[in-house]
Amino acid sequence: MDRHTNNSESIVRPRSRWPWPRIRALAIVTLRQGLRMRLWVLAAPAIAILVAADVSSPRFDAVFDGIPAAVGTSLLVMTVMAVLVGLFFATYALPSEMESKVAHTVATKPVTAAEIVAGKVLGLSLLLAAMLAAVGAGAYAYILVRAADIQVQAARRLDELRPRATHPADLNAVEAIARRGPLQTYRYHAADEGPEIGIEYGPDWRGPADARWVLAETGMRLSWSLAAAPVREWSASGPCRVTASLLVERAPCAAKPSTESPQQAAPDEKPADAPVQVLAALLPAGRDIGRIPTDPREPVYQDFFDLSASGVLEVTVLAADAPPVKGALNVPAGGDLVLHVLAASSGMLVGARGGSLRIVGPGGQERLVEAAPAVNPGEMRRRVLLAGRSIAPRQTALFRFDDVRPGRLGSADPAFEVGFSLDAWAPPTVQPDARLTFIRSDGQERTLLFHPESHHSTILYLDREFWRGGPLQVRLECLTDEDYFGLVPDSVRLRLDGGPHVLNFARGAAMVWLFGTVLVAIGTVMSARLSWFVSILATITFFVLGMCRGFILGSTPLGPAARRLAQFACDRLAWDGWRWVAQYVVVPLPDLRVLVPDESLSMGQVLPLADLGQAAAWTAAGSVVLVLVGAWLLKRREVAA
Amino acid sequence: MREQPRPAALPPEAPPGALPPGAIRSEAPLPAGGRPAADWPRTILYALVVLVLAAAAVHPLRGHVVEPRRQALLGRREPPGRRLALVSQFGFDAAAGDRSSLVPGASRLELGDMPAEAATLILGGFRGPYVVWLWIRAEEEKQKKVHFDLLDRYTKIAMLQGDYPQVWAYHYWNMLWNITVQWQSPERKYQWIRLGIRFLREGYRRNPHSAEIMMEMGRGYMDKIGRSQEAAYYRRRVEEDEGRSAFLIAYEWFDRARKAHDRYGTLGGRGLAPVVAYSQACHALSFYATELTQDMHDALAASAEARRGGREADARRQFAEGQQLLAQAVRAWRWAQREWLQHADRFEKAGAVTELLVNYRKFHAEADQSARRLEALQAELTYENLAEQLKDLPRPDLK
Repeated sequence: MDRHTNNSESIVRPRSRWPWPRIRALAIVTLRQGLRMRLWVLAAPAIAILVAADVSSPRFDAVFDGIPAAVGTSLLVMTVMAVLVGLFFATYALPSEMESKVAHTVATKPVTAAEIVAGKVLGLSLLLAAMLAAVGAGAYAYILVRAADIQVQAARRLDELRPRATHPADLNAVEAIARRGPLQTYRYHAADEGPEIGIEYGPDWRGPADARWVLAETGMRLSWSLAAAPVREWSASGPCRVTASLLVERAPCAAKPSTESPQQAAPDEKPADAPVQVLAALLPAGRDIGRIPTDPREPVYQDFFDLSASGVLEVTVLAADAPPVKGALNVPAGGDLVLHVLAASSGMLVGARGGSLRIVGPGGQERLVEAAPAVNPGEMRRRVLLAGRSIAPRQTALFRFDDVRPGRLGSADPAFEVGFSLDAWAPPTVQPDARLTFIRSDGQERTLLFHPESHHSTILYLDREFWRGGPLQVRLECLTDEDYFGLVPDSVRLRLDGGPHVLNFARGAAMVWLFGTVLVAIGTVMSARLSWFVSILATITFFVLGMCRGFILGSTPLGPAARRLAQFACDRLAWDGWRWVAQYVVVPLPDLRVLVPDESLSMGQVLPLADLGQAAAWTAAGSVVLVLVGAWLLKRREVAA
Repeated sequence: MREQPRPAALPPEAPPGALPPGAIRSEAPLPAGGRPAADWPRTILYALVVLVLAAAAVHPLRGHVVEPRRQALLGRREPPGRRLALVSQFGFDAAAGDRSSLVPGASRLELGDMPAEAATLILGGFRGPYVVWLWIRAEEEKQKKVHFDLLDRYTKIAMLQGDYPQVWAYHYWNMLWNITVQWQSPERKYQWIRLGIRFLREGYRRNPHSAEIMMEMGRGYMDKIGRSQEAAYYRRRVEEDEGRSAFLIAYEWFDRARKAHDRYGTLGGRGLAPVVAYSQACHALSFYATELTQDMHDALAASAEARRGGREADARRQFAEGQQLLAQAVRAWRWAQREWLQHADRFEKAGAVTELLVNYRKFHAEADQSARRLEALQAELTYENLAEQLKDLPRPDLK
């Protein structure tokens, strides 16, 4: 009897308090169902489609575009597969069980609705993972074949280009592919400081070292803050005078090709003894130099002034409401005042020391501005303009990387990446020359000459023998006369080895899996209440809206509504997160696009583990919410019909 | 026999119809009497929600349905339903109010188009969403300057919407004007131009009667290759690749477009009016003649320079080349003059705007004047008086 009792106790296990064993059991059943349906068969046609699509697609440059395109196509095919599983199979699982009455059997077991839905979602997610793994393995095998072919092509192209290349650094990118293959990944290390715009004076420079200088035609300006000076108060009672003692040097010019006839000489070339001209602007802090007004009634905040023979700039300053006068500037109505001075005469260097600015009030009172002027670069639409000169003095942009740990360099050569926007500035017929100088902490330099390309970032590889980590400075110069680089500051960064390409690809596949899991959860939730076909339609709607969430917020009245709501909340309680909350209040949909890998991953940029972790956390949280909603719906479903 | 675990027992005081915790409701419990009790607050709440939703749905109708309908009745716009249908067929111009139509006649398909047609058929109802996705991605990637898939996207869009000349023209325009400027080296820019030309040629093959495609091709050769800032490089490359001047090729396309429109009336949409579109052929010829005059000037100037430098053989060779070019330039100017005259006469009869006709007569007179000047030069020019003749011979600009 005792023996019998013991047996029955060992067989009839008590119901676990934790739902995990029941969810796991249901998930395994769902996974087996999927395998019995032979969904894995889809993997083979998916790989075939991938290969056919990639092989038949035209590319602009097979060497550089081949692998990003193959990776992009692979991830796209995997995403489509995830969508298909989410739309069709996830919405099928529960309704089919309802129809075949299997659901009745399950429902009469001691499992809760939440456990049933969670088990379905988990099982389908595992099934999707298995399918993606199969497709991913096949796709990567194809990528490896492509990579081998591309490496051969790169080697061939390198042989063709090498005799024609003006600067060896121009071949850096092809060389890297020919040597190491195209399966390279990278991660960025942003500059800690920069761009610090300065002037390289050259070895023949004899100007005073304690002065700050700006070069004409570079947009650089000397800026004095007049916040502490009583310019506005004094000018209210009468005209003031601002006097700056400037230093002037003529920069040597490159020899221009001789013109064939006197008519072809530049008509606006000024004689050597013409007075040096500067542009002076009195502006509120934070405002940049704009246009000079043409209407004589408009107040004048900036104008051209001739310097005296001794280099003195004298500007009369009038009250804000005083009628404008030729050769005088009006004080702007509000804000701290800043005086900007730009060299306007071609080929001139204008400088100033501390204590060179003096303000004289209408009653003869004087104030000396002791501080040295700041040197600011010219900026236009988030771009720093870097003016070109073939001989020194020349404008430079300096970037500092404080300390790059040697362990972060990886096995590949580090590279320096610069994004230029040359299209708007460089004359189209000129292929500008540029120079990049790497400067180690011990002062050793390595110089590269190159031709920048404006489309994709210019990549210049740095020899590991020269630099093995630690502090590094990079100086950039444009060597072409009368040319400008539009330098995008955020685009200047170090490109460090990102580790094995296959790992990055796997991370991309994992992102696709997370995306698919969310879709599976949505499909399962829909099918908990609706029939199969209606669930498909509902899931498609949800999916499309989730993919278009950015569009909805950006291009419909809901976006401004969310902004107004956030502003309303922010006015009452200052918090940066209101915008995010308001967007989800107005459009309560998940943004599914953030889970789809973007093109940077295809191009080799490493998907950070933190991003992947964040995506996983969001997916888990979203799935739990969806499971609870699904359970709520399932409880209200009539299953005993 | 293995005993199965049982569901949790119900408490003795549980009412009939109650379920154990966590179990799924199998049927809704009914109160005594068999009819559900009225839940007035909930009904009112539902009614209010329905009202709010209805108001939210109806409110925008005025702006989006009533007003467009009024405009349609006034004959200013297409009715909304028609607009939606047109937009869904990529009839943006038509949706905006212009009448445009598909090119008459079936598109010309070859055996090589079978995969594309098969893909279109297989996609079935997913073709529309897929094309929309491709359009969005293509535009995004163009903005981001991500080019590795761009050509593929354009090709796929064109494959799925190959019967719409606007689709071909739009992406051709992108390749020639918007993507080339994202590159710095002229060689790379020219590669994109060639890809664009190849792309539009495919569009021409698919839509052989589309005057719009022909016009766009002509504009590409004339404006982008012939007169952009990098034109000197592009013109040289086109001469190498196609063996003719870019302006001459442009003329051929414009001429084809004129004939196609005369026969099929396919120059619709929001493009140039026929009177202006037809004049592009004449402009192309004027540019062609100017280009030849420039080349002639350069050859004669080089001859004079070589003579000054004592390189007699070089000078004579350049002079002979200059003379040949001079003869070609005279013929080209006469050709342009005839074209301008015919164009002005034709559209004068058609009742074109007077200002345009005045301009056309002026271009005709300029062509005539240039031809006469060069003919006079041809009559007087000798190897000996070259330097003197060059003094009075300005090098024309391609404006």
